Amino acid sequence: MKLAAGLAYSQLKTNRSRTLFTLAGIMLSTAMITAVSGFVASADVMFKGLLGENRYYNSMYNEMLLGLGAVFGSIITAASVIVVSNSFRISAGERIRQFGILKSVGATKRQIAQIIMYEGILLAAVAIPIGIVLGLIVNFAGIQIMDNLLAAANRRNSFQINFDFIVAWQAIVISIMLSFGTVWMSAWIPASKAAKMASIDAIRGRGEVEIKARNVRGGLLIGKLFGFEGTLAYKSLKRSRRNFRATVVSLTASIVLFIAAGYFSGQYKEITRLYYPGVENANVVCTFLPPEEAKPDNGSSESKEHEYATLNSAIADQITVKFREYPNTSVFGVGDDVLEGDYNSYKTVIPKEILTSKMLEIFISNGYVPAGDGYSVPVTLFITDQENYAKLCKKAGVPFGSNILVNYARIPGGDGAGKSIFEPFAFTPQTLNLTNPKDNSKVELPLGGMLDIRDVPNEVAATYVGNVTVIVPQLNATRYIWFIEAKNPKGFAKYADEILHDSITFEGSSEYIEVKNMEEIPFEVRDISRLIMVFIYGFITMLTLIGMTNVISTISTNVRSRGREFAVLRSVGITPAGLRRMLNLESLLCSVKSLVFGVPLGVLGSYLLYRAFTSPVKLDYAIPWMPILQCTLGVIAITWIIMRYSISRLRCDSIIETIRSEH
Amino acid sequence: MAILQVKNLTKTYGKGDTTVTALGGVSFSVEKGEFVAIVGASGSGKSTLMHLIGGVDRPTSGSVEISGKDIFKLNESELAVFRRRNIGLVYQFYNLIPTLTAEENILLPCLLDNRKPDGDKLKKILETIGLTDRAKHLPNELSGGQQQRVSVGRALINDPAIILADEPTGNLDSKSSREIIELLKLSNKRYNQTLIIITHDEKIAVQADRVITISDGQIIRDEVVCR
Repeated sequence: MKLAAGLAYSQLKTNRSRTLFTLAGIMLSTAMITAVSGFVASADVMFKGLLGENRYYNSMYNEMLLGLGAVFGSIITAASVIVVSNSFRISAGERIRQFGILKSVGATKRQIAQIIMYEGILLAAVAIPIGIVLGLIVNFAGIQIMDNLLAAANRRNSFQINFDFIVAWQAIVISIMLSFGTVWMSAWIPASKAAKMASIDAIRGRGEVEIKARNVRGGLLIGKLFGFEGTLAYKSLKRSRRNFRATVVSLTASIVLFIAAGYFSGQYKEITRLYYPGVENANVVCTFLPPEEAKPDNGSSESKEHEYATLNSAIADQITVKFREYPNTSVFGVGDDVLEGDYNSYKTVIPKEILTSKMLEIFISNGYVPAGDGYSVPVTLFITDQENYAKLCKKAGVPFGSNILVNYARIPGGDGAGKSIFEPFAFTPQTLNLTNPKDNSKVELPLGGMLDIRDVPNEVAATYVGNVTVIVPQLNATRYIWFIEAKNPKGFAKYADEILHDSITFEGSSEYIEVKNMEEIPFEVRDISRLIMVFIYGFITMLTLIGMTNVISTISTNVRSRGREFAVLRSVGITPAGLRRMLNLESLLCSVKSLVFGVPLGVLGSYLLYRAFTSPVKLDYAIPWMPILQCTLGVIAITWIIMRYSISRLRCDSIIETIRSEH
Repeated sequence: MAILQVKNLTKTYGKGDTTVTALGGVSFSVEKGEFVAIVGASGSGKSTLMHLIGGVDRPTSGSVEISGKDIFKLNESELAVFRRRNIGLVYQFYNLIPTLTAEENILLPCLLDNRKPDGDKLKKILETIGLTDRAKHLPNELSGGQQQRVSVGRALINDPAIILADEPTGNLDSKSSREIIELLKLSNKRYNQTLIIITHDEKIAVQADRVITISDGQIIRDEVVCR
């Protein structure tokens, strides 16, 4: 018993760098589990305080919180099992010979297994307490950051949102159990393997590195491309999979997590952008809207006449120009002919053949009755300020002055099924035949082209009301909104108020005008979205760190354990450049292999996330190209740097020292 | 003309009081086609000498000329190229690349030189070392003696100026030992191959044309074996 502990301790001391990496791995994962469970506990208290004992909300939030906690927790546990078990596997593998000798002098299976298990216990005893403290610190710091972010919102809110730092014993117990379980599992597998091995095989060093005689195909191409060093790299990767498996597995895991997390953050940004478009940057919003009493009553008959003023786009443009004169201000003006109810919208019959299958599906599933060979739908005529109109014309590829069909649709789903945005049109029709439902007069609206869904600015999306929308050059707008990003919102708001009242002058016009300084508006969406982004980026950083420690330890072990092989190659005359080429290629092949596994799995993961998080907004699934690109470059760079670092340490040894030292 | 010319070769380790002289000003030369055995007790400096001749280690002072070329005037890359073309090394512990087959291991110096391997040559070598039917096996599927034969094959493939063998039989049973020595002698006779063997086995040493005895880093005896 004592001997086993002593041997375990000496092993940890000799392999200092790996011991440190393993400690770091266990520490980081314990810290993350502690932090995540701590946040869940704090959020739980916060929501319970905020919502009271409402059973419906409580069960909903509990589900969401615990669900998120479980997802994050299992991802972290998976990542740390890989790191830690790798390190134990390597540690046991390095000492196969030692185990053989111990066995030959009479050590039992149990004793051999004990040595490895002690290693695990020693590591856990050091790393887990530090990890818990670290996790609590992260938790504390995170809560401080959140409370700071929320402070601004709380000042202008009727209700207060505060997170309290809570040391939940349940959270700590969970992290200890998870971390210790991970270490135990990771230690147990190589321990039982080492214990089972026949002592003679162990002494001879058999089974240290498993090399399989495989027919290696495709070597020819590699050889053509990269020379003989390339073939060498390719063969060592193919025939000694075990040596590289650890690296490939850990890289793959990091890639999957990175893509999934990257997708989630992108998705989240997109959701806030679509759900609250336009508001993200604008800090002053000026509106020209008919006051309540000028609007038609809901459900009123068509015969009832309503008088309301409109704003001509020429006047709106003059106002926009004056707004832009205010220093450090950007302005986006949008207007349309919509009022509540369908009154002054035109209608048109859209032929089926120009609709996308998605749009058709929605018409059919919502029980629309076709009118002839198409569907009768309301049309919104839309304007933007001249400057932005010119930009949109350019994007749509049409001459200035054209009417542009906006290929954008958003439908609100019923019962929290979420919203969906999609492209409604497959082709641009030449003209739209508009009918005014009030007097059945007909107008022909020629279309210059179509604005792609990706080119639709936030400000246009924000004011989209669900009809077929056409951007026209001029209009008498019933609604007009200016989104303004001003450096001095307070000053601008005052300035804008004066200009609007000076420029729009009809009886009762001031009823139509409103200037809102968004900074003074209570509880902002962006406060929450900022908060969530902090969470997500923190999570990604931690996962990348865990992955990195893993990759570093596996690659450097691989290079170190092959010192003799490199020395032999050098003694038979490989040049330093050749050796470098071989290792570069090995790391490249390693990266490519992990990307081949990791990217599809990551995409699958992101798709599962997409399926899991349907509410509040349903988007169409898109492959997260950006995270894929980032992690591809990252993986290649990281493996290359680590390989180079490991080789640079090897190169210092003379060939002969290396060849001798291992015997 | 001497194919190998060793002049005043010195190798010391450490600094100041702790300096250890592994080799103290050794000079000798070897003619083409000669079979030389270097003998000495362990720690006498014979392995150091061999590593210096093989160009895998650098001396403190002195020079080694192979085919008239001072190998320590070459930079690391040039030396590597020189090594794969002119020197065949055989170690005590075979030192094969575990991920390459026997055949690939033999061809290694040739492939590193980006030369198309000579099929006939390979066939001949495989026949000579008696591994024609095991050419596609990986080292861990071969016995110790077979592995050592592969490493002799590797040393022979490029028709090197010199074959250096460091205790080539030190790890083998007596039957395998005999086979390896016969193999090396065969290459010496058949291809007029220059051969330097380091050994402390008397039975091997007496088979050489010439025996150089080293003790404490100095040559104490250099005699031609009379048959």
